[in-house]
Amino acid sequence: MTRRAARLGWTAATLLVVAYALAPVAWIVSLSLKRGDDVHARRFLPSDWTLENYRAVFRTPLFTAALRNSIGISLMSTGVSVVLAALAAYAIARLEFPGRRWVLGTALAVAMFPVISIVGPLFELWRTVGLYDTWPGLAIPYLSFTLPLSIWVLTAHFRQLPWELEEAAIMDGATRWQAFREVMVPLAAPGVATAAILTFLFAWNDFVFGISLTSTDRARTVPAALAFFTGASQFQHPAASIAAAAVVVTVPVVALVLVFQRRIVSGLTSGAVKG
Amino acid sequence: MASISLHHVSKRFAPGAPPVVDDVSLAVADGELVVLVGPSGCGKSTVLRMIAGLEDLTAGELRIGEVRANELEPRARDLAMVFQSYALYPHLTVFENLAFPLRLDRRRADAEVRRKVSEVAGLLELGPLLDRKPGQLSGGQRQRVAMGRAIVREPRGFLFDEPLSNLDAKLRGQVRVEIARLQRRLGATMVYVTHDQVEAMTLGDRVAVLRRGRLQQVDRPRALYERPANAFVAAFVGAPAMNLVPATVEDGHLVLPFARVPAPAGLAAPLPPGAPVIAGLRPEDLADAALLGPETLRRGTTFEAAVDATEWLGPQQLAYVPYDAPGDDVAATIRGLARELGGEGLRTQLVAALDPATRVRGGATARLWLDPGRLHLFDARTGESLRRDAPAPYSPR
Repeated sequence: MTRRAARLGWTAATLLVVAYALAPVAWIVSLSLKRGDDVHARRFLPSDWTLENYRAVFRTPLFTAALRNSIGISLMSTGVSVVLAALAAYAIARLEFPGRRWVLGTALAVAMFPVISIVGPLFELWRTVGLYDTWPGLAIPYLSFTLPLSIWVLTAHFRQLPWELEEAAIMDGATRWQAFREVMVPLAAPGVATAAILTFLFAWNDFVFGISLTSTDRARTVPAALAFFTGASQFQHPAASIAAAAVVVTVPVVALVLVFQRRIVSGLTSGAVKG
Repeated sequence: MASISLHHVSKRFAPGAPPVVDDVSLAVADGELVVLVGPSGCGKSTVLRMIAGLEDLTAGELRIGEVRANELEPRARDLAMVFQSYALYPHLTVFENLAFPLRLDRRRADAEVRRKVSEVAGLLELGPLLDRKPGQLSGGQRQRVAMGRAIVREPRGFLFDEPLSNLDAKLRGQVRVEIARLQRRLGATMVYVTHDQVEAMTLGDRVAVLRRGRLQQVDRPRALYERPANAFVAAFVGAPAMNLVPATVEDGHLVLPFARVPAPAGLAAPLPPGAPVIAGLRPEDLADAALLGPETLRRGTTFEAAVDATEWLGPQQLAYVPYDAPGDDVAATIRGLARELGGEGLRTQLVAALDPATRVRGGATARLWLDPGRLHLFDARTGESLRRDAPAPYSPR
């Protein structure tokens, strides 16, 4: 009986947590399906279901441009981050060079830096250099925050790969680069996927850099663009269209995480336990 | 195929550290299988890895096919290696594992890769396994894939690093025969590392015994068994291991703790009276006196032995005879050797491998017989053999 009671307790607790986490999401989804004045009707479900908000959002150049920027910048920083992190992690895990630990420690220190403290200086710097309001202008700061974590995750992965596999590849006639690309990287795939997803999420969700380092449709990302949304008239609150836009940018992230959640978990915990 | 030779090769892992490999010279002829054998930590794997190019040489020269290879990348040496862990690529199928060395050369046609892989797969009976991943294979199958991956490239030589130690005993015997067959068939130059003296003796055209980074003796298995150059080689080769017994010389006789025998002939120099020596006695050279005819008995020495335990193995019966050894330096040297070879060196006992027809039982006194002519004698201090026909102490040319 106690076991059954325990299971009931667990179920109840789980439901509570899920409800707590998903209620705002449900609210946003419901909001995005409401028609103009229904938004203020103080009801959870829309009285009149409509996809009008989604159509409107995709007709808004502000949003479509931002969506393009978000995708582009996130992919750019993800790609560069994974490649650089893989090379760095391999070197740290496999090669003997002075200052190896120092590199790892510094990387961690960089990741601890509060985002807000570098936004001001970056704003000035980017305007001088000409990176203000450009894709690289956002991708570079994203890199500096995501690279350390990627390096840590990938170093842990490379460390647990048997060294003999690399030697086997070399004995099979591979160059060191071939051994890295054809054997080590595929074997570290879970780590690579983890690093890629974490980087992508960071870039995709960022608001502070997005709002501070952009000024036009050239590079403004979705989280930043949402702040500039207006309703049908300037007196109307754009809650419904913001909700629709929010749903549009949330869906790919949720999908990504659902597909890869096993990998993320195993990627983050690997190195801690053997398995 | 090519010859492989080492000339005064040494290896230190750090400047000033003791050498792991110390002045090793060894020539492996084209098509020859040489086994490097020794207890763990003797440097045999390091020698192999230096030949492979996975470790640099600290000193000396490595030649492959009569060309200096010290500075060559592993790729350029064109040697294949089979690892103890097999080191199969877990993300690739058996086919892809076998094709891996071939596909590194992008100019090679796909049809040729297919042809060579299926050829090797046929040779090693891997055909039905080509689509599996290494994780789905048994130990023996993985071992064959590892060999296949080495063969497929048709390298100039093969390096084996304890390839059988992850297999169970029964399979080990089979694969051992398979490797010998393959070597003959391919006419391959092979360097084979193992800590197992049975593997070494059965496989090697010649066997090189290493101890603490130094070569002790390089010889044909039979010569190694019959004329060990020193006490270490004598104790390492053969199972059950040779009995090493402290002895002293007394007016033409050799005094063992349990018997007094005429000093054997064929020594390099007459033994000075009172000199301590190490006597080596193979278990199979002892016999149950009750089973021997008077002719044979007269040729050797018979002595009383208090047998405390026996083990029946089928083809022979082992009898254990504890004896009291003098607490001197010689006994200590012998105990040190036993420990080095993985034994405990706790008790001094004589092991006799008797004819299974024997009635000798544990807890009783038996009459054992030995032929003094079969005794090995070693210098008590250096361990070098004192026989006239002993190979000279190993010194690299």
